[in-house]
Amino acid sequence: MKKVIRDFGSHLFLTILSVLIIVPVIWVFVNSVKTSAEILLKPLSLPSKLSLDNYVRAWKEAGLGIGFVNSMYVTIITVFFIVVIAAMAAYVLSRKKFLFRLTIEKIFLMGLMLPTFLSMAPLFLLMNGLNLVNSIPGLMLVYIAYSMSFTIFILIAFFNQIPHSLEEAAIIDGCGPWKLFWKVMFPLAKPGLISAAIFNFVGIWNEYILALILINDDQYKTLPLKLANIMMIQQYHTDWGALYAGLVLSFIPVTIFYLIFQKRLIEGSTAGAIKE
Amino acid sequence: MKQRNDRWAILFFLGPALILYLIFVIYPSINALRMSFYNWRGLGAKTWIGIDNYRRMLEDENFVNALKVTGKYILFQVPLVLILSVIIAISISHFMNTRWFQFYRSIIFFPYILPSVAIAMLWSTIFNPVGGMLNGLLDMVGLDRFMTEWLGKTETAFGSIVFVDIWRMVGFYSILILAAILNIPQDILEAAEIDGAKKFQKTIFITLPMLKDVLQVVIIFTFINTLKVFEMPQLLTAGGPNRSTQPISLYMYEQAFKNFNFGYASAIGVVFLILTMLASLFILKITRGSEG
Repeated sequence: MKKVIRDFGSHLFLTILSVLIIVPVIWVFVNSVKTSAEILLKPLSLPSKLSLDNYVRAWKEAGLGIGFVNSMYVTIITVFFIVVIAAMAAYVLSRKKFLFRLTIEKIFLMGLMLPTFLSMAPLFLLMNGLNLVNSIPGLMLVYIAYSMSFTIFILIAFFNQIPHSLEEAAIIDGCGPWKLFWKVMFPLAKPGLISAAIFNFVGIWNEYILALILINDDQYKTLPLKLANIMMIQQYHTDWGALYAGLVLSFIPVTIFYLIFQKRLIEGSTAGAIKE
Repeated sequence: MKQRNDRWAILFFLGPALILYLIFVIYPSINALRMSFYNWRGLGAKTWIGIDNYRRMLEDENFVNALKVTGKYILFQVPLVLILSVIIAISISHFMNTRWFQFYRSIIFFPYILPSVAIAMLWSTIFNPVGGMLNGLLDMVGLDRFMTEWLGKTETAFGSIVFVDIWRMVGFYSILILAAILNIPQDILEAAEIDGAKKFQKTIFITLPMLKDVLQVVIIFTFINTLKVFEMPQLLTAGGPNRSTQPISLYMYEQAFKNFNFGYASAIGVVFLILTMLASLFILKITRGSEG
């Protein structure tokens, strides 16, 4: 009996929270297929007819199409390089013995503590000096650099788990360090590399602050910047329909990722903190 | 021969990561410290002014205000997130081994993976006085006297931002605590049950003390993340009305990229780092200290 009451209480509490989380998200989806007039006059009603006009206007007129393409391009290329570069470094840090190995590992870990706000002004000036402000490759370089600490940190743990015997067998077979890494270690670390890629995908797709200080030019803006622009510049003359369609555009890739890789995302993001 | 071959391989593998990281992360961080002693507007003369930037902060009303606002965010968000996420985690743990477990866990975590810019906009449309969902709902249930301009008034703007920020991150911390609850050995709970402990007593005397480590992590994370709060105030209220919701992060951004006081902004960045480190040390000390 008691258990029934307790379960009922938990259900009630969690259902209220779930409604608070899901309803606003659904509201965005529903409004994205309503006309602007309907959105303003009948905010709580369902759409009278399904229309994709908002998406067309968001993509073309509001410039969110450029933002979406830029974000996709930046995210995919950056994630690829993050995983490859971090895996190379993590492999060496996990497997080789050399002078300053621990120091280098510590320097990488330090990055987890340094707040972005500390280096915001100097980073902008550095990029400005290198002519990399308003440049997509520049933004990518910064993203790759900023993702190193976290990615190397999780990949070292993965390489540490791979048994040494496989590597030794490959060396005896005459495998050089280059081949050894690409043909043996890289495939063996695949689960870790996929996790790292998923986390970085979500993180970079959502990133806002670094892009905000490094990109001003409309044609290079990523989706979060474009969205923020609509809100800050247009404020009350906003094309609401296009705005909701834009929000949906920004939700879709990460939501698809979440649906596919949910377990990995949830469990992976907590594993690091629990280990402490 | 092999030794030398290996050395080149190490350099080659480590090189790209280390070089990028040193140039774009470490160098700007160190440079912030140096720049904080200069008066520099990005272009033109760079003059050494010693600790004047730091002295200026004490007299800068807007900085002191931003510091207080950040303190206020921490004062509200850290305890609220902590309490809420513990309750959520314990509630979900009641459904272990049922299909509800997965279901609730997925929904609660979901906001954490959405872009924070989109979350800010989503809520700003809900709070919007014209056609916003919140006023619409209040009107519908007859509570129209509570309808207001949520983000435009000092009395409600701060609370609204705190709400949205908690909405975004509470799932992550709940899942963190939930994972730790699942790690508690079942036999301890069973032993307590045999000794006649009630459910409530088990929660207070066994579950919570066993969660001490993870709660410490949660406090440090929320503290640091609240110290960094930026997107929500920037996009929901732009720090207003009257700077009443402007945290240090936003003030620093304003100094660097609106007023081009790069030296002064760097000094604020250094204070930021010091606050982060002090907070972590302080929390570690009090939570470790109570262990005796």
